[in-house]
Amino acid sequence: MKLWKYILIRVLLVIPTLLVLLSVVFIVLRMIGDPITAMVGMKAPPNVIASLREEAGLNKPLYEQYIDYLYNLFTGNFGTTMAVDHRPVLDVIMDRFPATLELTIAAFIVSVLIGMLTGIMGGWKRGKLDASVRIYSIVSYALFIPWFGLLLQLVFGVYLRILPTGGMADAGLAPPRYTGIYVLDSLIAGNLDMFISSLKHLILPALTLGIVLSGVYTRLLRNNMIDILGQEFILAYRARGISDSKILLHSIKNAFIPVLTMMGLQFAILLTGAILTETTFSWPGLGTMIVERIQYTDYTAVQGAVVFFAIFVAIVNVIVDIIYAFLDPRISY
Amino acid sequence: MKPASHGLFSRLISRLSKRFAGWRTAFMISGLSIVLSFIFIAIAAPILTPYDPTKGSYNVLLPPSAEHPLGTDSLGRDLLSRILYGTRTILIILALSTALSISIGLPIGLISGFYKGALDRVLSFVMDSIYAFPSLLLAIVIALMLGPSPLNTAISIAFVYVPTYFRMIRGQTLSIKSQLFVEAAIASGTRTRTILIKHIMPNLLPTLVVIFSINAADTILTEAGLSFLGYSVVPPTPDWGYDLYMGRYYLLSGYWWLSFFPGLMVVLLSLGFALIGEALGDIYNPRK
Repeated sequence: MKLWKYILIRVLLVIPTLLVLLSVVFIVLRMIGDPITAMVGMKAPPNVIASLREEAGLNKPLYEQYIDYLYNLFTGNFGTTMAVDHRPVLDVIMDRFPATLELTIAAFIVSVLIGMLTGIMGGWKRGKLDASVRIYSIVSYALFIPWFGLLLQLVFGVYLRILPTGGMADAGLAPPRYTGIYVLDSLIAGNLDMFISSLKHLILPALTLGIVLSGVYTRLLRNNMIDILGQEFILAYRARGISDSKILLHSIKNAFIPVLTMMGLQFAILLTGAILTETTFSWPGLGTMIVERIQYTDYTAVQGAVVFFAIFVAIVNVIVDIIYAFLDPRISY
Repeated sequence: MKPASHGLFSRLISRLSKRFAGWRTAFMISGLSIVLSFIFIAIAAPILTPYDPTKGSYNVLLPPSAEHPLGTDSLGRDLLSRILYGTRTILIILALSTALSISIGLPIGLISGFYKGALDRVLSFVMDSIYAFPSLLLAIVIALMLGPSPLNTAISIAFVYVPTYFRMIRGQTLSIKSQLFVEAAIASGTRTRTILIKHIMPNLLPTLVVIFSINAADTILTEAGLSFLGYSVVPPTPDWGYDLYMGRYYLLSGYWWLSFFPGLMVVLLSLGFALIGEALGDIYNPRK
């Protein structure tokens, strides 16, 4: 099968994946119990609950709700928020999404860098260094994000006072909005103070999330390196007197391909971590948005954000698969 | 069933002793001792501390002292007592959610891997889709809909981990099914139910143990995450994630112990299971 055909099929497969995910969201949000009662709590007067139910379109029969729900989503209609601002849900999501993107991209870079460095070291050197690399990968996996984030806040924010403990920029230093990604916007605006301020705010959240996620890459790269270094062609290289640095480079290249697949799988974990990191650092992204909107009993906003996460995950996984197909010609289409 | 699983365990032990060398042993021993200490703490909590973890007092926000080794929280409750009793909460939720995940993931994984065909394809597709979804978000939404209680938290966490058990069990069933003793059983006309329960299931046990220990590390973090966000048990039930959340408001004023110790417990318990998982993973998937 040709590469483009594989890509086409992979892209088309997004539709059933999305259908499954959206149905799961629907089942969870509408069929387990009454979402409005769950959010308001039992104390609210019945007429308030009834009017909120009507606003959210929950008083129709379930199959009609399901059809409406799918139709609206596929036409890009996420509804209007039910609390505070009464704006289109998609607008509210788009306000928050760049912050989540900024955090996840930064954390992703941190995790891959640390993971590669430690993994390659452990796989190459073995011995005591390898053991400490393994311990690092286990400990970082077991770290609880809010706790680790608080430790960093305590050290760098409270005792050393060199880094801020929350938010995305200092007061008055928020850059004008072009992309919503502060580090990028401040560069576009050409304001160095703003850039430094947003970078400083990004460091602790990105380190927290990045370090917690790095262990998986450490482990994978270490194991791949050991596998590859044990193969016969490496022995042949050594026999021919090829330098260590060339062998190292060669094995890193080969060890890296499976890491790409892991990046796709890790993406869901990255987003899960982002929810906790955002809450810990008062980072105004999608994670904090969901938590806030649940408090406001904003059913449509919560549903919209959850659906948005589903679409986002599905798309990223396709992209990773396609990149993988390009890089590894052995992939079975 | 009995003799089969007995043989399995003795084989397991002999494999453990054969393969256990150096770091693997260290990982296993430290992991097991952490987990066992937490189980002991959960059982012995009333003996270990004289205070009621849910009863407040006027001694609010006391720093660590001889009377209160970890200080008191904003409602004057002894923090050590809350942490010790919190072990019960998390271990109960872990046990419940694991039992639920396995009782759903095992049978469908077994059937999916054994019969294959259209059902397998549909099930695998659905499970893979759920697997790709951010687990904590799914658990938050389910927990929100069900309302806070240990059982409901366990249900929402169990739902998230069914795909993990499904995938591993299915894969393992596929490989066991292709082995000669199963083929022989099929050829000799053994009933399918007997093959599934007597021939395949006991051989899934080692896999289950490995997935459990790795998953448990994750479950601990998910439960703590849920309760940190406020969707787990109802206060004043002692719960590490929730105590960490409450304590963080006092962090900037210098009351670091309020959030430090509950979080440390989460990390330690999760680490215990992760260490066991790492050691076991090495045995079953030995990479030189």
